[in-house]
Amino acid sequence: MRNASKLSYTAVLVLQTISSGYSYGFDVMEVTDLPSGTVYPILRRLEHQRLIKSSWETQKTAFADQRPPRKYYRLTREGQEELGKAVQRYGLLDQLVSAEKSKHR
Amino acid sequence: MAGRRLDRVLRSCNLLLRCASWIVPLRLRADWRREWEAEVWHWGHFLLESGRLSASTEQELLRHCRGAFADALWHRFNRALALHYLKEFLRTPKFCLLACLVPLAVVLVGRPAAVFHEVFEPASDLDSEHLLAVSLGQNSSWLQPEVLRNLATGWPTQTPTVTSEATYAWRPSVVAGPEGRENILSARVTSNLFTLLGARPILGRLLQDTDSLQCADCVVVNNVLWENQFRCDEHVIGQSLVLNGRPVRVIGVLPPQFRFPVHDIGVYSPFGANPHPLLPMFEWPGVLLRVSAGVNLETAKRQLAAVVNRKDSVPADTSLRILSLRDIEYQSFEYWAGLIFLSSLLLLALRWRQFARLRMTGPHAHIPECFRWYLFFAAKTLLLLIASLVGSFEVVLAVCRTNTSIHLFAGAAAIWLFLFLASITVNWSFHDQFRRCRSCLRRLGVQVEIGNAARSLLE
Repeated sequence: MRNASKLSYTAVLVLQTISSGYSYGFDVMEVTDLPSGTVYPILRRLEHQRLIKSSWETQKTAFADQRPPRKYYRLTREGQEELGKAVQRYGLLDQLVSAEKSKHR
Repeated sequence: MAGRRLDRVLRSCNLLLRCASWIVPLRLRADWRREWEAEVWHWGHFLLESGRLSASTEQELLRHCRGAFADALWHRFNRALALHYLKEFLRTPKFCLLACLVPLAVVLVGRPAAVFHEVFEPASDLDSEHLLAVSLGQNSSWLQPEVLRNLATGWPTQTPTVTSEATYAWRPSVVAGPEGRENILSARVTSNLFTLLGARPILGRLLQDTDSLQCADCVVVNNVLWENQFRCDEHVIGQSLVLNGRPVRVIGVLPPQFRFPVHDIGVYSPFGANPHPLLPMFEWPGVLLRVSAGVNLETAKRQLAAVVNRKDSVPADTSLRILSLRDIEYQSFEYWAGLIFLSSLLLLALRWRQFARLRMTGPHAHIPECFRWYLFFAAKTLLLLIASLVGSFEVVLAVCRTNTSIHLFAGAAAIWLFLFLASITVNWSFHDQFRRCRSCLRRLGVQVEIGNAARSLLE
């Protein structure tokens, strides 16, 4: 696993967004206003670094709602620790995502 | 209406995703496409249900799908994985041998290396199968060049195996020209020397019979001197040089492929143009002879030896040695190869302690591992020694090209440089070997003092 100091501001922003409950790719894009070409590679990298973990929605649930199953992302324990350190470094990050959250909900 | 519009957008998006998915590695492709298609489906239906499906949101959705290419590229060219692979590859014995071999191959394939030019390449344009060289023997007393010339004039008549002869006398000289002073070798030669060697000038003319009397200050220069002193000026004919303090006039330039068989002569002046040298061993005389066609070179050598060393013709304490050009080339090769071999042995012998350590810490139990271990060390060290040799000759040659005054010491300089480089490379070779796994030969992060170390354990 990489050191938090190696995480870019954008990666921390994505991490913070997932931590705030936005658990799939297009949701993260909507909140952060980052393009898909940036968000998805960051998601892959964070997953590769074991800071987030992905899981497929069960077929049964998706079938019940008559929609295809989605892939959800959630923070791992390491991810939470790294996010905690990163938020201390980027002081305004917490406020930024909280503001976005209230705007979207 | 809106439903059809959504279908059309989703079809376009899926087409883009299908194209992008070809970039993704096969084992991840299905999962990757499933995720993206689900995201697009949800996004599209969210737009439809919220009544926000318009031309601009359609474009936005398509733009997001174009981002799938970046994501796919990340999967294909994952920097972290590539770096990991690179880091691992750098540790392999294959990389080590490639790193030693590639620069060597580049130098050797790029152009003829200096070492091959000096040691192996025969003098071009010379018919070495039909040429013999006569020079003073190792224990012979010195002989005046004029005396040898007078002796040599009669040899073609005394033995039918020789058709023509040409005499030369070479000496270290200083030449001063438009580009400054230069240390070279010069030679006084009889006019038939160039005819005997089959040389033709690229500018002006070569020496003639009458030049020794009518054109005593005429000289023919070789291509290197023409390049160094006159920067390949085509109007060089008639220009002046100062050879050993005496002004001379250039009458001809030799082609680049011409090489005097015995020494690298820069300036050729007519024989008899200078007074006899007062000091013995001031000039070194020699004779070149052309053997008749169809005569075996060894036979010619034997017959000529009987003529040239006759008691009544040669002064006392003087002995003449006869060599074919092949012998001279072989002597040169033997000399260099011997010197390099001995230097390499000396270097390795000086490191006997490291050898002992190599033996002690190397694998013992498993014979194939043992074989691989020593084979890898031998191959790596040999390649490094060859690279050092080629590199030192190339460097010295490059320095000689810029500063021609040191070319007399080029051989010694090359050997010293080789010893220096070889010492460093052999040392590194040992150091590298101690840091390698005894089983898989991968380079480890630490130096290992035990045999058959398991890489995973140490790492």
